[in-house]
Amino acid sequence: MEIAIVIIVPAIIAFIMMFAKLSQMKTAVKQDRADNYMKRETFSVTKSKDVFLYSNTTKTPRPKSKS
Amino acid sequence: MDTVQNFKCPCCNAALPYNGETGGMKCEYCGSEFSAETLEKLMGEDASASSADSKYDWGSYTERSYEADESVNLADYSCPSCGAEITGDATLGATICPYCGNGTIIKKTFEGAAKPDYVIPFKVTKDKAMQRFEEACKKAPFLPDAFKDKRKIEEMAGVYVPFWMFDCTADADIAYKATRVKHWSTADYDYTKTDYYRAFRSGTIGFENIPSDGSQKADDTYMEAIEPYDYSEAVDFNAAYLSGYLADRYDVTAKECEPRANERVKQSTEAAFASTVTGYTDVSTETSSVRFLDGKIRYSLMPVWMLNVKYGDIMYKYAINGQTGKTVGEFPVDKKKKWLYFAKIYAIGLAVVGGAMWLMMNM
Repeated sequence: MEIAIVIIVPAIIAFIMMFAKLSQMKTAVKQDRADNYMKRETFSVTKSKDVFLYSNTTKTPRPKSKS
Repeated sequence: MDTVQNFKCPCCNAALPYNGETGGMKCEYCGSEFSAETLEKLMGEDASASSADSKYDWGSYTERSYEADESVNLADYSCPSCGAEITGDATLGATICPYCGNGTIIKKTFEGAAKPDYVIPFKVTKDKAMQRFEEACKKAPFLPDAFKDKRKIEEMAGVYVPFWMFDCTADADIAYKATRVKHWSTADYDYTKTDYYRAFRSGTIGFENIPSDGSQKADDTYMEAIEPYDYSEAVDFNAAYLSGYLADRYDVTAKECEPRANERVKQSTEAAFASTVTGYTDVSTETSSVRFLDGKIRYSLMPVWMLNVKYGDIMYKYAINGQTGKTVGEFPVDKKKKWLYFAKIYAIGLAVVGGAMWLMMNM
């Protein structure tokens, strides 16, 4: 189990970092939003209401250490 | 009335292109400088005499008849400098004569209802644009080393791209799903408590100058990627700014561009109101209703340097914002460099995680 963690975790990190660098090779991407064109001084919240619905609690047994 | 014009230096008659650095027209031969307004006045008052043409009788030429291709809408113009016939789309607004190199403006393209509301003139010169491209190449981490020497610049053109600019006020009613998660543990159990909420937000937010490109030829992704422009430098339209550059009238209507602008406004509005839903672990939009009020549409021309670079057998396209110099495109990837980087990070990760695991097991 420990060997699997040592092998897999660095591979995942290396893949993530490689793909992050790859994203710098293609910079022509669509802009999903219009944040640059927002007139922030006109932002006005006229209604703000948070309603609690329900709660859910899960319980997981902790692994016991073998002695 | 002349349908085509180009701008010539009043001192030496050489071609007079618009210079983004000086903000006016600068003659590349005698160095004289003029403002766009001064030149318009001079062009209006100038009455050029034409010399009498020599006549040679070659007989008549019978034109071949052909079926007009409905998908291609071409028009012919005559260069006022050399008389060469320039053929282009019916939307052609400005071009460079391929024979004499003079900038040529087709006046009727930007007259009447088709006159742009404003233009952002070129500020980045061709040399500076190439400089920005080289800087972008240096920042590309997996660029092949041979790209600099073996690439071939097929085409580099300064183009005024037609854009529709959208202003509106978004009036929104949005419902969000929100959760608050708590973790704790006892000796025997791990607990996770999740509280579920609904958050309701309503309000308004204004937007201005959301651009959407009105040209079928310009790639929408590239035109969005080179945003934003600084609209404080926008000026009333004057044909002089187009001199030395290419320009087309719009061939995508404002109506066709509206859905894209609407989608961007909607995404930004949802995100802006979501930022007011605070104190939760996770927030996501459940339903949203966004209405656009006080809508206004304007038509403008924006400066873009278009660059086509051939490397190997593939043509790579780049766009450079002609005002800010922001460069976007797709660079070729050197697979060896990419996997070498992966191996380097993996080796470091292996050492760190392996070392940490060994320490934990031996404590």
